[in-house]
Amino acid sequence: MRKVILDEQWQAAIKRRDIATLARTITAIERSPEFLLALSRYVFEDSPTVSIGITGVPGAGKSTLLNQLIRAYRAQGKSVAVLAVDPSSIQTGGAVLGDRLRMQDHALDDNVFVRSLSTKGHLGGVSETTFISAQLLKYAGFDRVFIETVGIGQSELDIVSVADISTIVFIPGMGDYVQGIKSGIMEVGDVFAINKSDHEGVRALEKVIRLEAHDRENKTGVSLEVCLTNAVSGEGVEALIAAQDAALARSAGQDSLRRQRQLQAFSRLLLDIELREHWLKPFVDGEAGRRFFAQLAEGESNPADIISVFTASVESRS
Amino acid sequence: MEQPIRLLLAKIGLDTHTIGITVLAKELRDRGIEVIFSGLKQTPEQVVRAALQEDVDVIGVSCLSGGHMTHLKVLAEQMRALGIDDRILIVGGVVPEEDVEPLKTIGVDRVFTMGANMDDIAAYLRSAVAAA
Ligand code: B12
Ligand SMILES: Nc1nc2c(ncn2[C@@H]2O[C@H](COP(=O)(O)OP(=O)(O)O)[C@@H](O)[C@H]2O)c(=O)[nH]1
Ligand SMILES: [Mg+2]
Repeated sequence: MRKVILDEQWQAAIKRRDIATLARTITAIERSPEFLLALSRYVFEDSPTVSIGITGVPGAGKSTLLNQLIRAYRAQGKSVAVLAVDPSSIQTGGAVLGDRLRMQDHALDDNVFVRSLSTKGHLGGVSETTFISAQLLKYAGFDRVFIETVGIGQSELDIVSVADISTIVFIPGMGDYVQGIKSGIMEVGDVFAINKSDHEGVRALEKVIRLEAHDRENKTGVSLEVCLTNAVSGEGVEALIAAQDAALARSAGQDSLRRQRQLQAFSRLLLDIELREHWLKPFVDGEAGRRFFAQLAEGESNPADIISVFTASVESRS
Repeated sequence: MEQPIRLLLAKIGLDTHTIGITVLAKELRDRGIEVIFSGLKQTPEQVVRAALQEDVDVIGVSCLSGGHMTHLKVLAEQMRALGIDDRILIVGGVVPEEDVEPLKTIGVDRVFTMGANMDDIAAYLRSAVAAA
């Protein structure tokens, strides 16, 4: 692995958004829990830039929409970074990460950074390293940091504690799907984008979504932006940007609240990683764990015994 | 779990044969590789820039329409220019036997042609990345 040392040179390279250094740092985050922990001491200084989550069902047009968003922000002279998450196979750990190909138009632009991440088996729509990687990109000073989640169903909503605001992308022609997701998705999200506005059924969908948005506004007193987009032609993308900016301005008053939520979620994640890497794994792969599973296979112990065996092994460690 | 190898797969130029690269991506995923698609009709420069951002261990190019010598020469030069010539570079598709050695001279590490065995490709990637 190409080593990353967190020294002044590294910091300077990150601050000038050196692509190679950013790329290597994100790899180091993925490959070493110790590095992730060490980096956490650096990247949380206040940064004026924002992160925006883009989520929705597979094929909703998230990546295509991002391609247009990048184009529009670049026309304004703003720099953009994208973290694009796709699922990895639980069986093999392998993955096909295909979001990037929709954004390759911008590959030669130094002010655009696109990085594909696999979930590494993590549920919730993003990977464990997504938040800190987004934080790194904010720290580097990209004006906008986007996070594309995996295609979600009803519940993969970690994005709300990972990004500053989230846009949920809907598409027409899915019938009951809207009913199905109402519970989860429509309770979160700051902007509702109805993409594939060139498709049939868009008016009906818009009606349902506006009703839902209205309903939520009534209950929470917080307004919600709804807009129509065509990610292929680019129609409606300016309105989407305006909607996102409005949502950001609206949530600016709640900055510290949101920050707290993000940092809390991240702390818990670090704790999860610590427990897994330094307590669970050594136990499961170690002598005591192996002996337990062998006994289990022989019918000599009960699954519930794992608790006392584990506790005993932890006590003998300290 | 062992950290997966990151491989960027690309097609350069006007070559529109997509079956091989699609099969390859899926088969390698099933062998524990993280495959990043940079898409079709790429320029060598786009491929190399994507490889830099994605910090991949391996760049794989699929060529079936005969442009391999010219494209790979430019690609290898660009890799050097960006300082990522330490990454493994492999080529697959329709490549005549007599082009294999010249490709290696240019900087290609390995060529896999029609009927290439997927287990062999995955095993090669593991050993080459471990040795790099
Ligand atoms: C199917 C096919 C087509 C389809 C493609 C459909 C599609 N969406 O892909 C269509 C009909 C569209 C087509 C069109 C053309 N084709 Co055509 N086509 C073929 C054919 C019959 C099979 C290719 C194929 O899909 N094989 C199956 C896959 C699974 O195998 P593969 O691609 O070789 O991939 C395997 C390995 O090579 C390896 N691999 C592939 N890429 C990579 C990459 C890496 C990194 C690694 C490690 C491994 C690897 O792994 C794969 C799995 O084992 C070949 C003949 C042949 N036997 O190869 C001709 C062939 C490739 N075509 C040829 C030609 C000339 C054309 C046309 C120009 C014809 C014309 N005059 O119109 C057009 C234009 C294409 C263009 N602009 O690029 C020639 C190329 C000649 C050359 N290279 O000098 C061939 C060899 C036929 C021939 N004998 O003349 N074609
Ligand atoms: N007609 C139409 N097709 C679209 C639109 N947005 C995306 N697509 C197509 O939908 C497919 C999936 O898009 P993609 O961006 O990969 O979706 P993702 O899975 O949400 O990232 C692609 O073939 C896009 O070209 C749109 O607004 N209109
Ligand atoms: Mg996508």
